[in-house]
Amino acid sequence: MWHTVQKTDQSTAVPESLALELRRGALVLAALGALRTEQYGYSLKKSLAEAEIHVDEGTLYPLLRRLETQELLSSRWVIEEGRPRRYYKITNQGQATLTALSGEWELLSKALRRVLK
Amino acid sequence: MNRESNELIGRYVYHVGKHLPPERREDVARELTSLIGDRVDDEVRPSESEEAVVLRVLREMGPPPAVAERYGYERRLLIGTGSLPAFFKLAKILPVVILALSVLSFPYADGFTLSAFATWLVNYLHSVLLNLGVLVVVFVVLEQLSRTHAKPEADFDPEKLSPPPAPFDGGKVRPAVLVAKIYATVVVLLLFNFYPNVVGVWTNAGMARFWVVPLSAVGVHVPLWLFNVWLAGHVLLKTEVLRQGTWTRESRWTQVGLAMLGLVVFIAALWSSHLGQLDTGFLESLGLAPSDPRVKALSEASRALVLAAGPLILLGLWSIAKDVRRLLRASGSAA
Repeated sequence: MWHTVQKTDQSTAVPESLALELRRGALVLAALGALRTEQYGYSLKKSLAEAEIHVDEGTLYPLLRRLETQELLSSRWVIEEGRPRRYYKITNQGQATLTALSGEWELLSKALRRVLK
Repeated sequence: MNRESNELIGRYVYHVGKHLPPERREDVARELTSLIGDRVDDEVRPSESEEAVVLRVLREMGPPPAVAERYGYERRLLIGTGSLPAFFKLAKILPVVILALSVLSFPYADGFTLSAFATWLVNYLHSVLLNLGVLVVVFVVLEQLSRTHAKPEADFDPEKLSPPPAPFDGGKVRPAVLVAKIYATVVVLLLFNFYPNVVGVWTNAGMARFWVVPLSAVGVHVPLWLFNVWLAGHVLLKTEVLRQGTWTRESRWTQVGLAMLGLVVFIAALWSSHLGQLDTGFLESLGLAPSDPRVKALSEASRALVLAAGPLILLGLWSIAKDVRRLLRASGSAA
């Protein structure tokens, strides 16, 4: 599940399923964007949380695997502080997808602003 | 991280892995262990014990089937991701096996004509589709039977998860061998139940009667339902082993149980048959009258062959005892 920390009274009235649907696609964009810098799963979760994008482990880690399967991310295991950690980083294909998705996001955002004005 | 915390995480990760395809278990387990460890390290405070933090984190992550579901979309598929590799293996080999059987059943005696080939081809494709349908149904039923329903998150208690079983070396799984055995068993089941005349079998009052070379003069009877249960048990066991990708302690014990059932089938066949008594139909086919001295010789030969059943039963019992001993030893060393 992904939720933002600050919720207005209006946003809490939105059915959770609709809110989730709206956010799901954007989470891919957020993860790809954050992984321009190599990070392991938990540090990614924290960096997203700092940007007020709170994602639970059950959603984020399977998503990372799917993006890796789609060759948008690559990963490697590193032993750190006596613990193996899987580091993820965006691939060239992922970078191209991120650029395309960012463009889509801008267009959608502008279009929605016009519609909702 | 202390031993208790590691044990709690190990149990949780093991239960998640049970719901994942075998080839992904180790990797996901490694990642989950690392992620949970990172989070616990980050959240542990002097006011709260490490075990309490582990339990809180595991509760927040949710029941293992729900976590596995997010990794594998378990509930979205009629056949779970754990079973898909086995399903695809069987589905790939199925057209080849049916092709082999279809080639054997081609009416060569009537000569090769385009129309005969077209009919044969349509029948072959029909059989492939029908069998694929049956395969899907079997896997869906197995999936539904084996699927552990996730408890509501509020009821989930990580402390109550059972510990992983001690490592058990059940032997290597050879998918090609298992697949071949499954198909061979299914073919025997089909032949005995639907095409008995093809293998010289006929059924009467629930009994299958078939000729066993070289006991062709002696009718061997076996209760058909028991025979079917035995063979169906083998098919289900091997399909489950393929699905799990490993021989577990349970599947090895089931195999021993099926071996015992096999002996029961064998003994039932001996018990129910009129062994040593030559079939009059068979004698007529040889042109021999019951009073012919050669009939007596044949009868004695068949009795002698029946005597071989004794050593066969002993051999079966010895093999079963050996398997039981090995399994008990494995259990003992695990304890």
